[in-house]
Amino acid sequence: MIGLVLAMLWTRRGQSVTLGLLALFAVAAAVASPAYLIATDRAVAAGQIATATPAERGVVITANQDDRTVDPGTPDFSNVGAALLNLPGFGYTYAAEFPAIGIEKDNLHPSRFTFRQGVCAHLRIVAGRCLAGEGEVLLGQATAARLHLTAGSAITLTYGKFVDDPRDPYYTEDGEPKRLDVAGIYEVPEPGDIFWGTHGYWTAVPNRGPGEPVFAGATTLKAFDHGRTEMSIDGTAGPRALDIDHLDELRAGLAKLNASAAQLGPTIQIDTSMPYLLDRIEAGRSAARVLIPVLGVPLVLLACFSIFLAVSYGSQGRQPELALVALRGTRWWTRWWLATGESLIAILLGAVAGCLAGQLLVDAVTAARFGGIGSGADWSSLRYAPIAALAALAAAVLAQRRQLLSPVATLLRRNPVAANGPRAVAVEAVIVLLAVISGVQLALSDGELTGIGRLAPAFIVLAVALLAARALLPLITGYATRALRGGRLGAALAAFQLSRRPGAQRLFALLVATVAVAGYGVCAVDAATRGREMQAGLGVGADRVLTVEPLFRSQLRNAVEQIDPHGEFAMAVARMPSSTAGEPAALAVDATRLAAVATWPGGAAPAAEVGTRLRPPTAAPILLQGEDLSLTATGSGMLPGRPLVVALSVTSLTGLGDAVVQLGELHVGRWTYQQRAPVCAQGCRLNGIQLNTTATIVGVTAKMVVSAIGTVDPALLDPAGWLAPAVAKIAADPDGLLIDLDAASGLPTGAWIRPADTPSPLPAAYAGEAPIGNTLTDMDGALMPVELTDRLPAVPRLGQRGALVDLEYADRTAATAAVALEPQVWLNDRAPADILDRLGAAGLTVTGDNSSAAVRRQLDEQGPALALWFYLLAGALSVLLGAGALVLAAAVDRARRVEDLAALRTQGLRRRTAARATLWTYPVLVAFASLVGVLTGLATWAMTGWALPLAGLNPPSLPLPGWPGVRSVAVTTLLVLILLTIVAAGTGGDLHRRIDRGTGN
Amino acid sequence: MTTLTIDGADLAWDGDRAVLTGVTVTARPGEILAVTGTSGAGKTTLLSAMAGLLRPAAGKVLVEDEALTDRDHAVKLGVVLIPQDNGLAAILTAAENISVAVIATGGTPAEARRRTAEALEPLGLSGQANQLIEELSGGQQQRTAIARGLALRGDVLLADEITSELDAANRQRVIELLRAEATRGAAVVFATHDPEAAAACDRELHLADGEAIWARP
Repeated sequence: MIGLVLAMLWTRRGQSVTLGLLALFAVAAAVASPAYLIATDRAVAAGQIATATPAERGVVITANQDDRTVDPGTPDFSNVGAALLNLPGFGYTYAAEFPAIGIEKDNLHPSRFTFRQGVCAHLRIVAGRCLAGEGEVLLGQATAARLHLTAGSAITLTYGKFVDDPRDPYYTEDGEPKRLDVAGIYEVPEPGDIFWGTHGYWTAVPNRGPGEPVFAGATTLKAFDHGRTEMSIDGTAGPRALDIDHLDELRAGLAKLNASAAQLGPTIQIDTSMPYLLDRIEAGRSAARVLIPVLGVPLVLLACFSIFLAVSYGSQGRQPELALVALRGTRWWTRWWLATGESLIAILLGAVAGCLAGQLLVDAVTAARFGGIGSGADWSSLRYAPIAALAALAAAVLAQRRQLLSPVATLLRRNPVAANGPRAVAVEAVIVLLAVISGVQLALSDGELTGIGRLAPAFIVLAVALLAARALLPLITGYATRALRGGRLGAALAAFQLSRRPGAQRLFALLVATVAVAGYGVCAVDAATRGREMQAGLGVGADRVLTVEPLFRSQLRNAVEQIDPHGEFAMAVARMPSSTAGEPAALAVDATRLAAVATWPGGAAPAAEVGTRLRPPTAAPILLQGEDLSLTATGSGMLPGRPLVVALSVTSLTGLGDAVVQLGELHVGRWTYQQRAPVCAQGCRLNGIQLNTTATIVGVTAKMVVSAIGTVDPALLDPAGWLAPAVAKIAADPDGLLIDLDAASGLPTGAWIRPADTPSPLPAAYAGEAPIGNTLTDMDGALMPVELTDRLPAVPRLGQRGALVDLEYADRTAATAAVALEPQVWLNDRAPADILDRLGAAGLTVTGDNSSAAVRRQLDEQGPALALWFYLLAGALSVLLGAGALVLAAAVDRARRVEDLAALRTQGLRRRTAARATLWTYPVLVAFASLVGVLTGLATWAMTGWALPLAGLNPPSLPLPGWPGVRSVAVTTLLVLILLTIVAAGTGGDLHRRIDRGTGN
Repeated sequence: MTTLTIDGADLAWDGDRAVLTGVTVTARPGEILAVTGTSGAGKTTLLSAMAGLLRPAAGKVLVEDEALTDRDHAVKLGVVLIPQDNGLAAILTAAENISVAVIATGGTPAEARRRTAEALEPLGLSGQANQLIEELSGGQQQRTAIARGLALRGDVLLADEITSELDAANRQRVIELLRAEATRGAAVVFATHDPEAAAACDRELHLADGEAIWARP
């Protein structure tokens, strides 16, 4: 009996091989999904570790200790720290530093006298040698050059104590001076090396350039009379600690460390961003676990469907043979074995090969995409192979149910059994119902891809494909009939072959579904890629965003104008404060540079136009000359015991900063109030005149006529050029500007009378909901009305809800001389390479450096991006599956088609017409299937794509693209079409010869 | 009016031993020539040679003095064949099978529709015109093939065992239709092993032992 089955296999070896290949696909797909998931788990971890910041790759324990005051019984920090840090696989670096003064001219920024364990191995000594004995130090190259010191020079340093003078903070000597020898001059080859941790040793110092600590040995530091010292232990995770297979242990170790530190109290501080890294890895893995099965499931379903079809076709062709077997009265198991044996053997062989192929395919893809990370020596994914193999066998048996269960008489009938009978309709109805249920579940769960909702894309693809096939085939039949009536025989015969071949509808549905899976995969991959581009572009704000240490907004703008006077590559940005709940976050940007620097959202008005609207022409500000300020005013109407003081708010025109200059108490009568303001040494802008009380009192009244402000043109004292708060009225007076103050409730923040040198209300562009009451919080923290000029799809960096105003105008509306909130410098790709040095030279200290390229790199290594490679793999496998089914269908059809066309040739059908009918049949089928398949993929994408966590489980607030690009879809359609057309054309290749042989031509 | 002549032909399939040798026969317009013989005597082989499906190993097949080269040539010269296995395309309906043949041999679509209806009606197949071939019984399929042969209105009509699956009434009807074709001027060659059917023909060529003998010249 086995011999008979083997003979059948050999006789129909073409069909058997194709069936085996389809089973291979089914099992390979079932194995590939979990195998890819395992590989992605590893790749996500490896990718995030590779792109982690130093803070995310280490733990820093710090404590401030003053050896002069420390209790002798207190345990030494290094001992405590070492006891805490017992994380496996970490390397530890001890460090200590304190401020020292004596060589720098400026006592605001002292030298950092630093001990760092093993420093010599990470420095390049350019002159002299490295540290050897007590009393030796190393100086940085730039510092040595600036201070005219060389190796061998002697210097004297003293511990520096900080004096927190709010007007002029500085460091002062506090301890015995220490004479030190400069043993060598160093430069640092890799300032970003993880060895340097997060101490910011190389951060630029304003007006000085790059920071360079003075390095010394531990004994030198100990021998130096010093006060409060920052001690630290940097725990740097080595490869073993960040082994992607041991991350759980790392997380447990960190939790234990935090618990121990909490017991020690606030004296010891632990800083690490490692949990963020671990959370990011976990989030990426979670997203991958959601994403991969979405296409893994339909792939297995389609493979089983194609096996079902393949076996159905084969069985139909074998029906007379099976009828004979039944007619001979063989026992049921023999009949079953003869009927199914051929298919089952082919499927089993294919399944075994599929286990190997699936794993090898994933290994190949992961090796190509993930490099040396490997998919891990984990063959656990093979546990799905038997399930897939059983599903394939079940599909095969189901496909032969008619041949197995029908009575002999039915088998002997040559008349075809209606493939579109009520049973087929019922099966399709069940699939459509499942699609509806899973789709509704997905919608109701707000995109939760769990339970049946996870199967929604698979069922919807299948349902739409079946419905499309049901709708399209009658159309093709209609077309064929019309073609015949029109005398176009080639087209008519090709179309009839498509629509009337046995199982044509199912074959069409399968092809549509396989193309749809590929189309869906491309939708996901393309939308995600564009989403990542947007996250890295619009989400960051510009090509590069540098966060700088807090400084006045005017200083920020001045520094940026200094390094980029023509507005070609840099833009100053600061956050606007927020004072009410529900208020959108707002950015103040240099609107004149918006178009040149910011990454601008698609679909918005051009950045240049928006920038122009944010900065309409307005009155020039009032400028003051020289550092000696004066105000001549006549006071009256003050109530006894309720004195008022006068102040001027000024902003340096050259980046010296802002100041509120107190002019003293307002006196009755005409007085000239004077004060010296160093920030105005090179000219100032007047931000406002303040009347304020010296204590919290109510019922304040006064009249003040301002008749002169320094050398300002008296014409500028016209009330039309000034703005007053609600508690004051301004009017013209023969002597100048009359300010009539009547503050029944007092003046908690003073009354500011400001020059009207900004548009009021201030123009603002916004995204999302309009700010409540068209107001935003101004730089002084009070609500100000804004005029909404543009609605944007998103505000760069802030996302779908936010607002933009012009930085200079926003600055002019402020009078309190507060520093900028989150000051940043945004740069485009034309920024020079030495931009950090230039910014340092311009007085900015860079504390954060982010770039869209770095974010893009990180996103590309994150879970969704890595998981979506599987979609391409699944798409390719799916199309191959369709191609395999097509080949098998054509193979089964061949004899019958040859018979039909040879018969028609005998009756006079021309060779060319027969060739046309032969050649176009399957290419036309695949053309229709490709088109309808891509449309089905798009329709499924429209219904379910929104639920895929393409940008992670917590996507950013950006108008991420929901649809793929037209070009990607078109290219995919074309590629699929070309591939399937080649296969389809190949299936009709030798038909002509066979037909001619049958007609004697 | 077309005469089909086989002159001293040896007929063999794919270089095998000759099925018939030295066959000389002429089918004349207005006549029905019966080709009889037992099963395997070579009736289908002879009709295949007449239809251009089989090139003679020796001798010639002439249609009005023009040597037949292949089936396409025969179709061009108006040689219609109703094959023994009916030669119907399974993916088409009865009417479509006929229409395709009519259009393929130069008829217009309108002409094809008219001739299809005219051919199906006398064979009692008007009700089955739009049924797929697989849905028809063996007899209905045979009558469809006959209808197609009649609809083509050839100058030479070769009918190979076309009454084998028909009942007596239908067989009689078919012979009448063949007679009508001959009357129209066609040269009709009717291969049959049915002596009654052969008797209704004008002449009879009997095939036996690889030779053709005139039973009724």
